Amino acid sequence: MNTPVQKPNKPGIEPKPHTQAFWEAANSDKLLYQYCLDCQKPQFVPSSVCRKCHQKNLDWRESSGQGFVFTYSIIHRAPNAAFKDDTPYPIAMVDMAEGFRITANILNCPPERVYIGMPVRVVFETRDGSDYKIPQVEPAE
Amino acid sequence: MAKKAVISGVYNTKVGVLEGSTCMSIHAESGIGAVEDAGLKLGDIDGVLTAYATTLPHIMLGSVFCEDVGIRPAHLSSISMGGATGTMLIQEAAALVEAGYCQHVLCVTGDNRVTGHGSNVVSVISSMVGHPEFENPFGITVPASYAMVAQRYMHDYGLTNEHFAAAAVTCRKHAALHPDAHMQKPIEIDDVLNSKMIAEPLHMLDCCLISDGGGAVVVSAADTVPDLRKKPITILGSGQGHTHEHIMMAPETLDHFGCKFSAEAAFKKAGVTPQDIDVAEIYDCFTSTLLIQLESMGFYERGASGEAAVNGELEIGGALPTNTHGGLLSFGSSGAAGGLWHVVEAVRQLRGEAGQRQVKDAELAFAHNQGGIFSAHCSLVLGDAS
Ligand SMILES: [Zn+2]
Repeated sequence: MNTPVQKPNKPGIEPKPHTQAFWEAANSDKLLYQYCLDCQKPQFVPSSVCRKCHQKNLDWRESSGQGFVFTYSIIHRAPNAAFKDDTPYPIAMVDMAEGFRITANILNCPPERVYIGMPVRVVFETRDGSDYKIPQVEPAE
Repeated sequence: MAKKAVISGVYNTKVGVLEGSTCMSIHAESGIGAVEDAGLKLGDIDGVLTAYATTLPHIMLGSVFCEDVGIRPAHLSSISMGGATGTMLIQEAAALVEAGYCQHVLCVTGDNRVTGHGSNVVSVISSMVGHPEFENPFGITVPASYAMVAQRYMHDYGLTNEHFAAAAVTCRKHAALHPDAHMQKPIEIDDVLNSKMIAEPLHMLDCCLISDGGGAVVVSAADTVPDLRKKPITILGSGQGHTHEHIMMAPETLDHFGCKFSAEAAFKKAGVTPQDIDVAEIYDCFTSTLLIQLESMGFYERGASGEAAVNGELEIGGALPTNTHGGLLSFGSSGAAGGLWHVVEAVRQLRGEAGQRQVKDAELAFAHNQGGIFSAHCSLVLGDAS
């Protein structure tokens, strides 16, 4: 009898106290970023303090979800079995319109179409084994 | 008046697949080897510094090592700063000697990453480096992190895959001259370009090896020189630079990192410039890492290191002989030992012990290690003390 091979799940999200709001918003298809009310500057990844003034006067803001690919790679060798079937897949650093940077895969895009400066928008991916949706990007043009 | 610190002993094990080795057997061989090279006995060692080991993830690796070989030093600690740890151990050891805490400090590293981790090694290392919430969910890898930096750097400054490949070819040529190197079979630029793609733009032969092996260095007080067997090598300058841990948090242009600051500090203390360096041993976890750092640290203008590599300037006999043992790309890479081997080679070059690899009249060497994804950096300027 053949037992189907169980593909392992991709890593799930374990929110920290200062990232809980981010992940809960992701489940409502919203991309949040931190904003320091003293410095008037965005920051990402979230922290318990502002990285510029080191105070805790941080607020959450919602991003437009629009950004550009600052750089990328096409991954041919996956880190583990959960990503193996996706190869080759793009990973990118995306600079968002509000002035912060995220890392994401570029979905709905053949790897050879990716380029530096490519406009992208955020989409939210539902994953097996994850309680939270994952913010990803796709081509905006 | 502070005491001066010198490097008195160096050692590397054979590097490659060391069947029957353990993390601690590699440490023991390395440590004892470096102490003998210095003309000292283990009992002379009053300070021990170790790194970390992924095959033996103990919270007190230094104590494990000292227990294993049977020494009870007056001073002991372990530093865990990834690939930057090797040169950091030397800098720390020099500080202990200069402050008068120790006479002879043994810096010892080693790991058996091939035989210890088996086929798990890629996922073991990758899961340690990516941000757990904001990078790892996207299937990031260590090569992909460096590849994203390389991709942008190529776009901004015109380095090419051929340039990167030339660095790999150079390292392999050098490794062929070292009896202990992991990989010695000669390669050509096309071999690199045709090797399996790992994370675009980096091919398999742009990536460092994964090896078993260890290395050790003894740092001694200059006033013990009469007790030493070999020519002492002076630590003329050292410096560190730190800007981030995860690559998405690096200085946003991705073209300057802590190496700029660590090298500046080391050159300033030594009172020399990059142009004065006779031999450079620079952390080369990827071909792109080597070239980007050469430019960030002032050895070449932006975009110029690629042509230099193609023209053989980085070869023994070239204008800036670099990674004369073969580097992480071809001599081998085994955790913190990978970086320490750059120091071991710099010392052998300055002693005139490098045999077929000897750079003529080498009087001033530069050794640089980095850890994370361009995250933590430590540079050393070493010189012939005599
Ligand atoms: Zn602030």
